[in-house]
Amino acid sequence: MASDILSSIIQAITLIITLDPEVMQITLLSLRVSLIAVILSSLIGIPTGIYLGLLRFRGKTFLLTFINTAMAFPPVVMGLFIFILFSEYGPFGQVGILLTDTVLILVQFLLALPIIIGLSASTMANVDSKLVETATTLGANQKQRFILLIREARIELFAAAIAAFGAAISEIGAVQIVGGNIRFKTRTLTTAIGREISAGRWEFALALGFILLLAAFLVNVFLTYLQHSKRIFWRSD
Amino acid sequence: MVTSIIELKDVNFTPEGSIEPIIKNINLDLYSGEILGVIGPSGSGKTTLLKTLALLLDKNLTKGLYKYNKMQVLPEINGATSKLVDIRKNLIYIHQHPVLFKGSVLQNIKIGLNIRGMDFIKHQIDSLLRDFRLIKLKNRDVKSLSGGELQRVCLVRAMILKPQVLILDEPTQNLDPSNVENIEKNIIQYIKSDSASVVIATHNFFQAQRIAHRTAVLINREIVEVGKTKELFTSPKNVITREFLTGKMVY
Repeated sequence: MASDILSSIIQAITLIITLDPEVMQITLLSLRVSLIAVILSSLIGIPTGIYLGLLRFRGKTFLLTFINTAMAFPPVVMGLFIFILFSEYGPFGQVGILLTDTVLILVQFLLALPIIIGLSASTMANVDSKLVETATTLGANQKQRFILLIREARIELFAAAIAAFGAAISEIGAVQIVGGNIRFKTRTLTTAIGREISAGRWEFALALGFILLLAAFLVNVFLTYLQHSKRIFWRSD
Repeated sequence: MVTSIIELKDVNFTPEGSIEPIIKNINLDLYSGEILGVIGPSGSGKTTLLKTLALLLDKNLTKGLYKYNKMQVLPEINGATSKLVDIRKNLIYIHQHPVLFKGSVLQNIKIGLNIRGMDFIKHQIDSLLRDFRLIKLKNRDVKSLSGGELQRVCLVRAMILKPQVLILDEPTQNLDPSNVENIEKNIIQYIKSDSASVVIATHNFFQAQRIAHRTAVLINREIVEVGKTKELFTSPKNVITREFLTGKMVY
């Protein structure tokens, strides 16, 4: 087994160094789909989560319960719903995005969105109320208070996006159902790994697994750099 | 002639969902250029009184009259909400436990200036940092500071904005004598140089006697006596005050 792993690592390195066209295409597609899905879900999910966490309104508890439930929504079921909705005879069949990379983005967006909203809302709900009072007493209006609180919670808000990226790039069931795992079109690293395992090509599957880990690691390194970067949030002294 | 900066008349504050007010029947004047001490047992409503003075509490839950420089602030007169935000800028409240934002000492001090669109005048900031013995810590992350240092940063952050009223909630609680001395010295200096006023809640009777010109005694949510500090401590008029000051009151 140890020799299998070693051999897979060597194969993974070879595939990367030789820029194997198919592996490159699969890797880039996986990264593109997951990054677009997470960026879009962050753009909608973070502000929504911030409002949910900070504001008080009737029905908030119900909405939070719904979002928390959606965070645990089984991806396969999500894939099935999307498949039915966008299949030829479904209500959105005319859109014609099934078996394309667009539907992969859609399904990952829908899976990432509740994670980002839920974690952002929980982060903002836990911001110390004394910080709000301090911002107010220093003269902040509502908009300035809002910006200060986001800045204060930025690390946790970025963590929500990182968690969602992890969930998106590692997703297989929903992606398989809506994308169909079509070579050079909708085959992602996870679906490719599933296919290689089914075909009994363990070494190649492991090699793709290492590439997936490496890609996820590099994206997370970048996101973590952004998360802790002071320049984005502070004016220089 | 002393002029009243803040006047409270029959002020009550009842939090949402509660029937009982946390402070009631509050009648209090804060005069220009004075340090007003607020003493009272734990849970007597000192923090609520201070937050009321700082206009930090929900205006809809605050009953009674609040005047700032003779101008009625509460109850609000039609369309006065924007005025409330402007008036609040003259009243800075500092929590009992230091509250700071993530970042360095200097970044925290600049927050208030940024909010108000005020210029950074380096020598003024440095001078205040020196007064509070913080100059060497200017670029340090606030996470690495001690409790006394954090409280002093809060004071610098407030004083650089030159509010007319500084409202301090037990600013020296649990601090060592050196920190206490530094903070008290700077509070006295502040009212002298900026003709401002300070309200300070304290559990320390000696501190009230050292720095407060007048002292208010808050017991069981009501002010039972207000007077010149020396007279209040030597010959309190109210029997409850006397019992509280002599330790006969068990609370």
